[in-house]
Amino acid sequence: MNETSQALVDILRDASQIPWLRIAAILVGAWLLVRALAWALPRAAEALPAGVRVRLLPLVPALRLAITLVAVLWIVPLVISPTPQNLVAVLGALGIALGFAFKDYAASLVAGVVAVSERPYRQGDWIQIQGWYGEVRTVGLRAVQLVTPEDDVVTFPHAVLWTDGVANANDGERTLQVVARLWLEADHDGARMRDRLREVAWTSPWLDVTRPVEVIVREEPWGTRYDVKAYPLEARDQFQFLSDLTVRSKEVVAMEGARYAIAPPAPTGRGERPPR
Amino acid sequence: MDSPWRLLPVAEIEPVQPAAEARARSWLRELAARLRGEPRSPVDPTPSRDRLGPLDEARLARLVPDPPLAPQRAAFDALRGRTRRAIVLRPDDGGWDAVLDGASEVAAERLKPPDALPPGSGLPDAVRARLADPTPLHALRLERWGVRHHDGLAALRELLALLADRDGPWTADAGPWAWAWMRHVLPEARGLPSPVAPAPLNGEALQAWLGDRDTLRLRGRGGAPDEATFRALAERARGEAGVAAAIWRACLRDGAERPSPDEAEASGEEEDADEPREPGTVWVRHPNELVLPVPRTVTRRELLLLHAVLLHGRPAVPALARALDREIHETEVEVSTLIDQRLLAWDDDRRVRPAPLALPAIRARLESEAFAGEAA
Repeated sequence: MNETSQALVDILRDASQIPWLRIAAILVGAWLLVRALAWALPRAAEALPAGVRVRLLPLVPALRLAITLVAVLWIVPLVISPTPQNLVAVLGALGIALGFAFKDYAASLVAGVVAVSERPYRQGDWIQIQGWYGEVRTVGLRAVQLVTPEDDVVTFPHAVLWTDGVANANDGERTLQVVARLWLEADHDGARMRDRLREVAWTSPWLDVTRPVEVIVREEPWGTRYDVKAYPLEARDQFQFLSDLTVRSKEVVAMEGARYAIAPPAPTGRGERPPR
Repeated sequence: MDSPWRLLPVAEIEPVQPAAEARARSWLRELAARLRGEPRSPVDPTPSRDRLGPLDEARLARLVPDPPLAPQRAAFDALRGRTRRAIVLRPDDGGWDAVLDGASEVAAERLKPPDALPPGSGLPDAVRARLADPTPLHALRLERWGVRHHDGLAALRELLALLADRDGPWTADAGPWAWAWMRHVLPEARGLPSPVAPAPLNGEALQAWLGDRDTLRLRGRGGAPDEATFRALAERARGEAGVAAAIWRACLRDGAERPSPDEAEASGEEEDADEPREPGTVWVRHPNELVLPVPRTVTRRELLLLHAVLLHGRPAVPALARALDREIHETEVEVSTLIDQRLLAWDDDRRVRPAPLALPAIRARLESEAFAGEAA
């Protein structure tokens, strides 16, 4: 016991030798820097073209991780005697402690590093995890936060990456595909209806005209299904765009004298992404 | 030497851009304003410490004449002489409206868009007959042949298809945003020729048009406006005649009074108190000193409205409301808001147009927000 205590004393510097003020300054400085970046980068991104914006926003979690690592690496030699034996001992002890006491937390931290490097989601992406769909608000060290279309904030630990799939609708792009779906009774002119629905998409104020518009038609047991597939100007416009497509498609269906079939699928609610 | 008032294939046009340093300065200024949370662009476009007033309209009309019609007409006639089919992109600032709307010697050549088409209808029979007639023809403002609405496309698509198949020579004009929309969206537009557009005016051309006034004494800080002044004007106006004229109008100040002492001091100009002052002296503010309206804080809905205005080429409010699928009264309110911000303006016939002073900033903002513009 005495030997263990002595070893610990040998690893740590003498309390009177540890520059507490400097450590506090490093911690406060790192915290302020992280906060300043999290505040300034999104604002700077808003002043930039949309294409640059989507590349700038994902830098926030990467910079936060880098600042935290630098702060930790700076502080460690101030607290322990920086010999190789001490470093190995400290890291080993830290690993065992994390492994037992903070297993899930550590898994999330490791997954957070993976999330920063592999980018399954970035700030500003629209993703679906475990049935929840929303925009990624923050990518922290431990967790990712979504804002759903109902304005709920949902937090997932990054460890969800080990067990669940993540569907990313725009994957760092400015826009994403939206599908307006209609089921009509089968007895109508399908070619004309397809052309009219294509014109509905072409004339939407929210349409990104540089992307293709497709109308997919398929026959189902209960009638004819139309999928109007198009891209809004920005991912954040997707719900207004979908509403616009839906409302004006209904106008066209009424003008053409077609009737709606009774569609069997029912929405499941909570933050559901638009149909694809 | 080529006339500066000429039409060029769009692919050959080099945009007039401010220097990289000026662009960076402008971006930093914009970013700083955003970080400070400044809500709106300044109400006064020409904040003045010079105690000089605006010029009266009569003097402004003499000093800033309309774009010269003869060289524009010559350019248009030359285009029609050398090609059987062409599309001219009509500048958003109205700089070439006079020649495109009415300069033809033969009024019958003009094919005007109808005032109203029933929803979902194709072209009127009279228009079909005119298109079948192989004599020369100019179709005016393609964008007005079908409001961007699912009910209005039939006529526009038919017109484009008939133009593509037409035997006789023809020209047509469209706004650059409308053409970008048609080219991306409508298959009928893809078979039409690549468009031509007015060449941007450089400083030399602007000086020849606006700067050479023998009867009036133009003076800027430290001397008469020189080539650099007009080069700066061309850069701020992106070489567009209508925008340049609007900026120049805002630069001209009534010279009945002397400049303020601090301005005289700043310019290092020693004024001789005994020097007789000409009552007609017009003072010129440097174009880079003007604070132009900027759509910094417009909402997404307002951006859509600005885009629709450019897309439809001076639309009336009901057409605008229809294109945006909004109520007329709420569109009127939104238009009024943007007019208050000096981004839009009413025309005499109650149509809405972008304010020329704001046009470069509006276009830049729309393009940065992924609206497909001229370059798309």
